[in-house]
Amino acid sequence: MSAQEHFSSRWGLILATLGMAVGTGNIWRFPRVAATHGGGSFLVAWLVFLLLWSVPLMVVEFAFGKRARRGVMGAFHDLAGPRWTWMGGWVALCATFIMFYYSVVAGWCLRYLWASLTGELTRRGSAEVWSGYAESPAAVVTHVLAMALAAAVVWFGVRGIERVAKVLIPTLFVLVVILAVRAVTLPGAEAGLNFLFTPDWAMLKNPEVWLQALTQNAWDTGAGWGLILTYAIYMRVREDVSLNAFLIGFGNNSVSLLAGIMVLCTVFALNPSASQEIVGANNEGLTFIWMPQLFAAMPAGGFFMTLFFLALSFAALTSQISLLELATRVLIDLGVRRHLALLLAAGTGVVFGTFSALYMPVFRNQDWVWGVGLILSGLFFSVAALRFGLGRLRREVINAEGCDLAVGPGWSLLVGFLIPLEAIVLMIWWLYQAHGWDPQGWLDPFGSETAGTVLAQWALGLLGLVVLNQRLARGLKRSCAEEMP
Amino acid sequence: MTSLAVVTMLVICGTVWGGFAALVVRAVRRESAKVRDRGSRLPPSGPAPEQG
Repeated sequence: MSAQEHFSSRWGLILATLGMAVGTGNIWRFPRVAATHGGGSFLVAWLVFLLLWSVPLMVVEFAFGKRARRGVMGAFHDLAGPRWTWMGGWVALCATFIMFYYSVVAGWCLRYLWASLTGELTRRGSAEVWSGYAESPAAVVTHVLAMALAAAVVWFGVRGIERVAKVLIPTLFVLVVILAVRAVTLPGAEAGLNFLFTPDWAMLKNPEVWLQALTQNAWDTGAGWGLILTYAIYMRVREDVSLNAFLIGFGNNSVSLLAGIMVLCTVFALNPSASQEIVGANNEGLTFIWMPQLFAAMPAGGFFMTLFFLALSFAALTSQISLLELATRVLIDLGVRRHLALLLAAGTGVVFGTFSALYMPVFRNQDWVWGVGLILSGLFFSVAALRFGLGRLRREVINAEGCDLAVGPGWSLLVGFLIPLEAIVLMIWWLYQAHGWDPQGWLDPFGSETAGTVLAQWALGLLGLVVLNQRLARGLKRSCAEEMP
Repeated sequence: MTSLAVVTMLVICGTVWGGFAALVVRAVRRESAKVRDRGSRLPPSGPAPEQG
């Protein structure tokens, strides 16, 4: 890494990392899951797991990036040992495969931003726009556009990422606040607030509520994905770790809460009779079909619809930028020059993402396989931290010079014991869920959302990484030696 | 809104948004303290000593 590649300030780092954490999952998944799993009771469980999963893992990621100053694979190689490089490779693999199809999602958001700006959504109707666009060549075009926009930012390295985050993230916060205020002031909006906040305490006895709350934290805070580690490479030398981790966790969940209020108040105020159907729809159904219809029914709806898709596009693009930077950084650590590494990562993303853009079953398959894979990534971070030594990580990195908030032995207990337990339970539960969806074909390796496809693709990925482990470790060691003066 | 929903909303939003605001304030204060600390470690300003 060149000496001048650092975030210019703490706020640059925080805004870029918030941009990574706040994605479409905050806006299109959180409101649905919260509403369908006990409202207020779900929110309690969601807060608990913010502290028992997301924040402790974010501390690990910040600490790894600050200490190793290398991407995920290099950090695992340096801190856990060369024999464990494959684990870092897994984290990189998972995030890179997500980057391939997330670009498709960012493309959808851009397409709908354009359609709301030009009035096409109101004229043609959202369902018609979606049916003509999804799985069509136009979806490939917007996927390429989203990848190109993210690549244009990553091209300029950390300076580019910081500059873009400093504009997009404060704007995103303002947009979400405006939309939430508009939604709350609609006649009948209090039904949405009742739905979101009324606790059903009996639901807290249901393990599914806790597992969904844990899943939401694992998927929408970005903890354990390797993305925070990637940005932490560019931290200033005397930068804090744990206060920054808390800031990102609470900042991310603040946006989720605003999005929940915005979506549910809009739904209950404008179409209360279909509210159950709307919150029961999938992510794309809620966002690209129902929300435009609801906005069209409110005064100045076209304006607010544009703000909504602008916010969604900003959230998607800033997350796409971090995913692309992660893949680029891994290649840089293997000795590839930044611009070539970026072109390789983005080019591969364009090719692989095209399948997800053209075929929804492929998109759903990849979302399912690598979404659950992220939980395994979280487990691997715990294992790597244990290998390095939790006490040593606290002493030498987290609570060292520049620390604004010291962490105690409780953090070691969480990372060394509770997070591995949470990860194992969560993975087993999701695979068991697949059995419930399709009891006959749940082990089919060629199914779209089966346990079989998860296990088959994971096995291929893990086997490849374990076989290549020595070669990857040698590549990382050689590139590290070349950087030495 | 029901009173139970209001109480839950205040507790949840207070914890998440209030927590975030408190963390931002703490980070701002710590950054200011670090800047002051760095400033106090700098040598006193004045004309540079003549060379030679």
